[in-house]
Amino acid sequence: MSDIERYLSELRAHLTDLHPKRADEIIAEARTHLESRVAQLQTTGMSRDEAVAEAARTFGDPSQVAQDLVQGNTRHRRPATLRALGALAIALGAAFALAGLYATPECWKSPSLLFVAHHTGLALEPAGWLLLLIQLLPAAYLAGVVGGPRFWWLAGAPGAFWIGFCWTASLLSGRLQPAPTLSEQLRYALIVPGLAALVLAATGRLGVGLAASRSRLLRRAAQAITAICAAYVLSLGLLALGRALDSPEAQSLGAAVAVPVALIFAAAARHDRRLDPRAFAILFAGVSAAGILLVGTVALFFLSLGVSLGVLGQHTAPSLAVAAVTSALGLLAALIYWRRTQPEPSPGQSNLPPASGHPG
Amino acid sequence: MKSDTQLLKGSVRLLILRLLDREPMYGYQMIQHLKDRSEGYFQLGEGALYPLLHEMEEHRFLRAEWRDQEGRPKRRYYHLTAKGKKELAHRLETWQGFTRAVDLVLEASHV
Repeated sequence: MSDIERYLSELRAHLTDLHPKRADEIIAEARTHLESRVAQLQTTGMSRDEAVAEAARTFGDPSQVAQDLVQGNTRHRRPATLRALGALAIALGAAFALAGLYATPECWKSPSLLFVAHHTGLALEPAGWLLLLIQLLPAAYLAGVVGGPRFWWLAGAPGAFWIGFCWTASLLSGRLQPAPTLSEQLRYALIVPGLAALVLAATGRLGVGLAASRSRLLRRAAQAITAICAAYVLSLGLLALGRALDSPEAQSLGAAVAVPVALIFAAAARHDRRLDPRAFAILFAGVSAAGILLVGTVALFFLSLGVSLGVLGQHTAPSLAVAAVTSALGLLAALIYWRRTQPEPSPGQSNLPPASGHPG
Repeated sequence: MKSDTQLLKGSVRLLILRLLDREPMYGYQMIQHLKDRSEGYFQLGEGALYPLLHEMEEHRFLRAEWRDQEGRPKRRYYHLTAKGKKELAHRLETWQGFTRAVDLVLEASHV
């Protein structure tokens, strides 16, 4: 990668608040400018490397230039509500999927029981909370990347609410021994969910920071994490469905798809020159939701044929309802994102320049 | 003599509109024209130009299009729109009123 491309890559990484196509156009325009400047400086006797360094210096600090560009392109900014919706969809989807994963067969008789702690088993052992946190972290990361800096807190909200609800329900149902004093009870009731919210939200914020990092290595790492998360959460969804269906085959399928999905996302990240992790995360949501929806549809198809699938008859309706909610949220976010990121027709704009620039 | 940054910031939109009133230009060309025509006085920060251009494009004062260049990469040319011409006339009038008033004060101070 040339120094100009490195500079442009850094500039592009700070333009994540703009629609990707507008950001691409800005980068193309900056590329022709820098190449022209470099060519002009070379005529004064500078070497190519010196000219590139001087051109980049006079163009300005990428983060500052990007900040000014975002302010100047108000009509091309991504809507805040859409970002919030996307973040909420991912966080809620993950929370529902995990609820399905931990639910015991009794839970499926009534979806409302999913939120009662002693049915999920989460609140019975402290290790359960840790497991929940670990498994919600990828979702928090994705939600943070999609939501952006302003909505960093949103990523942790559903998970924290669920943890708090489970904890409180456990105390009320007598499955846990209440703390002897009121202050200790408050500490457990408020501090535990509060800390969980902070951890989840901070992870989302970290994701945003990584995505906009100046370091190409860190940005690549963020995309790799996203790829792993995509495979992980997708396999979680399938595992949850497999558990609900009491089907070892479905659980095996969940584990089996994880590796190829991770490879697909990693390959996409590798060829994504725009380095746009938000688009990437939304793509993940759409693909994951579509996968879960597909499995659910196949299961419904067999049911409609009257084919018995063991315990399926008892448990499938609530599990498919959960899968449908997750899928609908993910697909809705992906659809809205896709429609909003289509280029606005510009009367004089004919087409975009080629990706590679030449001195002009 | 180096330009005053605050003065330049206040007048750069007028200068850009005036440049584009004569012919469509791309960003780098504008910077060169501003520098050459002012005998080196106006040296606009290169990265600062594009946010201004995009802002004026969003206000429909300018319209941009990518143009093919023979043997060279495409460039994004900016044109002045009818709304931009009105804006230019308004800014010119304001500027002329301002400079006339400043001149009057300065001349009165010499007496």
